Amino acid sequence: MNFYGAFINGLREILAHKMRSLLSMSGIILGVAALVAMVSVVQGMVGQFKGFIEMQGGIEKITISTESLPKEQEHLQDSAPGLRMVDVDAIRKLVPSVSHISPEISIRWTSISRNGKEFNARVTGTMSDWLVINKRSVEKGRFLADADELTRAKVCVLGSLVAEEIFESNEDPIGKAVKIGGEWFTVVGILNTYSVGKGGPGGKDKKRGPGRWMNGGCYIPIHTAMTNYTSNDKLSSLYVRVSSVDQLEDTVSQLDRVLLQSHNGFQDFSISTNEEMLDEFKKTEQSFMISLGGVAFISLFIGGIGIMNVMLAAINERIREIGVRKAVGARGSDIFMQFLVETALVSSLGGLLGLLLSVALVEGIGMVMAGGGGSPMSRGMVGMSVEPSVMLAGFVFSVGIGVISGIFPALRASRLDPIEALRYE
Amino acid sequence: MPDSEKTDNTPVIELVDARKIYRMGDEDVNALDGVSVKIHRGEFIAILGPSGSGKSTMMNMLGFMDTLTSGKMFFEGEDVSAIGASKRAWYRANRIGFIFQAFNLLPRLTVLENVMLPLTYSRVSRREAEERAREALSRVALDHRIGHIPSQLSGGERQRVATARALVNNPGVVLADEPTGNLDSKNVARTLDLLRSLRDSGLPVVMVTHDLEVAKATSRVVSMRDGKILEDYLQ
Ligand SMILES: Nc1ncnc2c1ncn2[C@@H]1O[C@H](COP(=O)(O)OP(=O)(O)OP(=O)(O)O)[C@@H](O)[C@H]1O
Ligand SMILES: [Mg+2]
Repeated sequence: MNFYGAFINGLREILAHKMRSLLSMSGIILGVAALVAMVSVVQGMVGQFKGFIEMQGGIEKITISTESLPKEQEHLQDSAPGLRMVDVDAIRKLVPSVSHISPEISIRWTSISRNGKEFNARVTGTMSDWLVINKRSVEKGRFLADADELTRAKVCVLGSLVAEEIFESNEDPIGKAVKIGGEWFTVVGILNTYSVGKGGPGGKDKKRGPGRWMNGGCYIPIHTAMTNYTSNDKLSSLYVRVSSVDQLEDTVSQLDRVLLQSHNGFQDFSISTNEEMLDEFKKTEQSFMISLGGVAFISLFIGGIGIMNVMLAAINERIREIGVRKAVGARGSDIFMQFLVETALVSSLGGLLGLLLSVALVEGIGMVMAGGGGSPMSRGMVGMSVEPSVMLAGFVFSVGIGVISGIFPALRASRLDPIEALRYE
Repeated sequence: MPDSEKTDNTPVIELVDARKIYRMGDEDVNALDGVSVKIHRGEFIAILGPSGSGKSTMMNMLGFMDTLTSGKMFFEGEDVSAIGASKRAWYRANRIGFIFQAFNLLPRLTVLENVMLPLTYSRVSRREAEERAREALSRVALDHRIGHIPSQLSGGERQRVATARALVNNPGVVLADEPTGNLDSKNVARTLDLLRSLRDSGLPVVMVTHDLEVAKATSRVVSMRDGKILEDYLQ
C-alpha cells in the first residue's frame, strides 16, 4: 500500500471513531497550543521590548541623570554642583569615544498657543545632537542647530502631535510664530511621527500613552531655555551616544571618572545604559522560556504517550483486520506504514487543532494585557501574534511526536502472524 | 514443443514430505506429518478429514501463510521452501487466491474496496485495480452491490465478494478453507458451481470440506488423518 492509501485509510479510521480520536489527540492539542502560545507571547515581548529600547535611543545611548548624594556625602548636598553645561565641554574634550552629546533641560508641560488654539506640550531645551541620540528625524524644516545656541535664538521644533493640534492641516507651520508660555518662538521644524508598536489602542494612538509622550514634545535651544526659563546652567539630564557598542563599558567608566572630577568628587549623578535594561529583560525571557517550555514539553510528552496508548488499544481491536490484510498480501512494512501514518495523522490533526487554540490563546492574552492598561510595555504587547514560522514549527513538532509514538504500535501490528491474527476473535 | 509440454506437466504446487511441528510446551504436535501432494491445472480437489487432521495447516502452507518445519514446497516449478516473509507476502498478493470460511471482509470498506485490497499490495495502479475488481465482481454476479459495505450483504453475497477478492489478482491457484461451512444449501450449490467454473477455465481449486456431499462436486479427493494423507483418488 502506498502513502496515499495509508493516508486515506487513516483518515477513515479517525472519522469512524471521532470521539476516541479527539480524546487521544487532547494531549497533543494542549501541548502544541501551550508551546506555540508560549513562544508567541515571549516573542511578542522580545519584539516589543526591542522596540521599547529603540524608542529609548537604542543601546548606544547612555543616560546621565542627577542623583542625590550617597549616604556618606549626604551632609554636603547643598554644595553638590549637579549636572551643568561645563560637564558637556569636559566630556567632549576628555571622552573621545562619545560621538554625540545632548544635554537636556525639562521645562515640564507648558501651554503652546497660536490663533486661539492651544496644546499642553512637553517643552525641552536641548542641542542639535538630540536628534541622532534619540534616533528621530525631521519631517519638515530643520532641527535645532549650533548657531541657534550662539544667538540664543527663539526658535522651536515641534512634535507632530503639537503641530497637528495648533495648526490647520492646510497650513505650513514652518516660519510661523507660536507662544510658548509667555514668549513668542518661530517654528523651524516638525519631527516625524513616532509610532509605537505594531498596533493596538496604546500603540497607534498618538494622543495617549507613549504616542503622546513621543509626539507631544516641543524643543528649543538649550541656551535659550536657560536664559528664558531657568536662569542658571543646571541640566535636568545628559545623554551621550557612543560611536560603537563595543566601547560602551569603557565609555561608562571614563564618563564616571571625568564627571567625578568636574564635580569635585561629588557623586551627584548616575550613569545608566539601555544595555542593563536589555540584560535584565533577557534574564526574564530566559526564565519564561524555561518554565513555560518545560510545561509545554511535558504536555507534549504526555500527549505522545496518550496517542501511543490509544493506538495500542486500537490495534488490539483490529488484529483480525491486520490478519486479513496480511493474508491478501500485505507485507510487514505495509502494515507498519499504515499504522505509522495513521498515528502521525491523529497527532498532526491534534497539532492543527492546537494551533487554532494557540491563536485564540494569544489573542486572549493580548486582550487581558490591553485591559490592564498601564505601562507602555504591556500596552505594546497587544500587537503580538502567532508567526507562521512558529506555527510551522508547532505543526512539525506534532507530526514528529506522532511518528515517534506510532513506531512501537506500528511495529507490533506489523509483526503479527497472519494465521494467529485471523484466528483471533 | 517439449518445453511447453514440460511446463504443462509441472504441478502448480507440489509438497514433498512436508512436515509442520508445533511445540506445545514439552509436547510436539505433528500437524503435518510427511505430506507429499501435487496439484495440477484444471483440478478441483476436496480435502477431507476429521477435525485436527491438518487440513487447515496444509492450506496455510499452500497459501504461503506459514512455513514448513521440514520438507519441500514448489510453486509453479520454483522451490519456495525457504523464502522469507516479504517474498511470501508477494506470493499471497500475486499468485494465491484464498477464500475463508468466515469470509474475512473488512467491515469498513465497500464491496469494491474489499475486492481491490490484494491489488493495493501488489503495485497495481488504482485505476487498473478498480477495473479488475469490477471485472471480478461481475464474475460472481455482484456488480450491482459495488458500493455497499459487507454488513449490508447476505452470507451468500459475502461469500461471493470473498471469492471475487480471491480472483482479482489472477492467481495461480484458488484455496478455499471450508467455503461452504456458513452457507445454506442454495448458496452451497451456487458456490460449488462458481468453483467448478473456475476449474473449467483451468484454474486449480483446492477446497477443505467436512461435507461428503460437497466433496462429490470435485474431481479429486484427498483425505487426511493425523497430519498424513490417508487416501488420494480421482472421482
Ligand atoms: N498454532 C498452533 N499451535 C499449536 N498447535 C496447532 C497450531 N495450529 C494447529 N495446531 C494443531 O495442529 C493440528 C492440525 O490442526 P488444523 O487446524 O490443521 O486442523 P484441521 O484439520 O483444519 O481441523 P478443523 O477441521 O477443526 O479445522 C491440530 O492438532 C491443532 O491443534
Ligand atoms: Mg481447519
